[in-house]
Amino acid sequence: MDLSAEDLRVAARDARLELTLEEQERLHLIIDGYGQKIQRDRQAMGELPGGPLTYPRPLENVFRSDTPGVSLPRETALANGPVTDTSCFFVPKIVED
Amino acid sequence: MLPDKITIKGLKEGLRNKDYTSREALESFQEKLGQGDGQFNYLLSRRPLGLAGGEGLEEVLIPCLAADNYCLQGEKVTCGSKMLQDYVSPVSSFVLEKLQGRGYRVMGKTNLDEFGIGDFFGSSFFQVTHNPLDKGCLAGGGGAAALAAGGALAAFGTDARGSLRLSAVFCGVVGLKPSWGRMSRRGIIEYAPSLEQPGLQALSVGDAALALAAAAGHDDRDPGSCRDSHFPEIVPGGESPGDFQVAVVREWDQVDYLETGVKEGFNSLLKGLSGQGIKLGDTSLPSLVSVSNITGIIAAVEAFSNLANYDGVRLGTRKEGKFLQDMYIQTRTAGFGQRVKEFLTFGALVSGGAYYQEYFQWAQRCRNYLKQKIEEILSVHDFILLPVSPFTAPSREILGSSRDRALDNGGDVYASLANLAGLPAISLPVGKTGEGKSLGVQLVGPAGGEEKLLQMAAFLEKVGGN
Repeated sequence: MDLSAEDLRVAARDARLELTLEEQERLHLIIDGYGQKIQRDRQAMGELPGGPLTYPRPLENVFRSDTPGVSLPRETALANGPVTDTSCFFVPKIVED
Repeated sequence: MLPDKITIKGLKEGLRNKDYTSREALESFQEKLGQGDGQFNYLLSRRPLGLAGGEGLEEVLIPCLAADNYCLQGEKVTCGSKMLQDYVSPVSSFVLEKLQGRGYRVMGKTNLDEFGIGDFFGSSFFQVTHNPLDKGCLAGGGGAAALAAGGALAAFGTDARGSLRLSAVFCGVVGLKPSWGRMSRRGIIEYAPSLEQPGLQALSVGDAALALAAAAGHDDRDPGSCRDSHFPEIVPGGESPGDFQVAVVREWDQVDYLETGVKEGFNSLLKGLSGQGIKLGDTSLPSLVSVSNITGIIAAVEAFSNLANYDGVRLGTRKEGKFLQDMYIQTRTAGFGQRVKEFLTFGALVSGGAYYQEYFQWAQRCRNYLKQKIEEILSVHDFILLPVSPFTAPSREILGSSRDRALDNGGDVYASLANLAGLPAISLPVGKTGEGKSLGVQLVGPAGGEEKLLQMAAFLEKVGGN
């Protein structure tokens, strides 16, 4: 994998993480080694006949019928929110200055 | 008086004969559970027995444990992560509710790698579990260690890349990953849902069969749940194992990280089985050596997606930031451990942009190919026989070293085959290396083929150690 430090920084940001320089260097080494093994595997396996498979067996739709019913009480829904009032989750400003 | 070593089957017999009551048995297990936890750190939380007045005097109650990614309403569930250290679940796991209705009593929640990521370290944000067979080695997970220390009779967990089976072998107990969809995933916090399957560990194959019968069954609110509304209680034995055809993948000794002790032990087992009249058939699956890498890519991408909601808004331990994006980053950076951060970053990298086709989509095409190849093998053989892990229980010194990582740690190369294809697999201890470390073997069967799998495993259990 021809990975640049910028690729790694962008990936960490996509995962909403901040890695220290030391962490980036360690991960870079791991991914380089892993990438080489995957290239070896790609060559060994050659052209693959089928398409991608996402789940080992088909999923079923388990949505309930679209009829009114009792939903999760607001208090329960908010119970694990780190910062809430009686009706909402609070977040910091979204638009940066 | 409860014997020192007992199985679920033995416990039931003792209760039937009125040698003791369930209350006495549970109290005895509770004491042992606490003593062992003090030595080996396998629990993240303990639960009171909560027996009402006359409860436990007549009925059969079985002491069990669940990994701390199984939810119980109104109770903490941490997934071994600082991120969820204060999280209280609003729901209960379908499996645990089912088990409680069938007489199983959850006595505690066991330690696991943070969100299960790492698969065989048994090291969470909170603690490292020590192996009761050798305190200098890793246990792989709290459930297996607790069973090995005599603290319970069954332990329930999840298996995304072999974690249940690996830790079972490291601690000398049985690990069972059923077919994908056999046990409901509802109310269990997973990181890689297409690979991960609730499963269990027990002290014998017979106990694994009993615990599976109690835990398995259709859940109409799990989109992947198998349709079978009832799963029979299997009593291993009956059909002669000589009637089964067992495939041995000839590339099994070409994988990375294979230890000499594991290689010699598996070769010796193969010779022993031939001598017992088991029909071993040679088969080829050259891509076996790539299984760990393929699974690693898929698991990382699924973890990147599944763990995205731990952001400090609806849950998670928030770290303040001036703006929303900054708050997300501060929260997640402080809340996740190094192994998880590396895994999520790799998942983000290969799930988009230039690397999507080359890595993630390639891995999913490999998965399709491998599933077909395994099904071809299982159309002419009853099972595939493999080692469980290329190495025995690693030394605790591996923690914090360059091998302490979720990517390319090599532990799952044999085990993940069953996860990629959604097949049932069982691991069991079959002896020890020259250095006294537990050795294991695993059988992989066709989807839905747990009954035959358990029968064959019961036979291996009988002859394996010889």
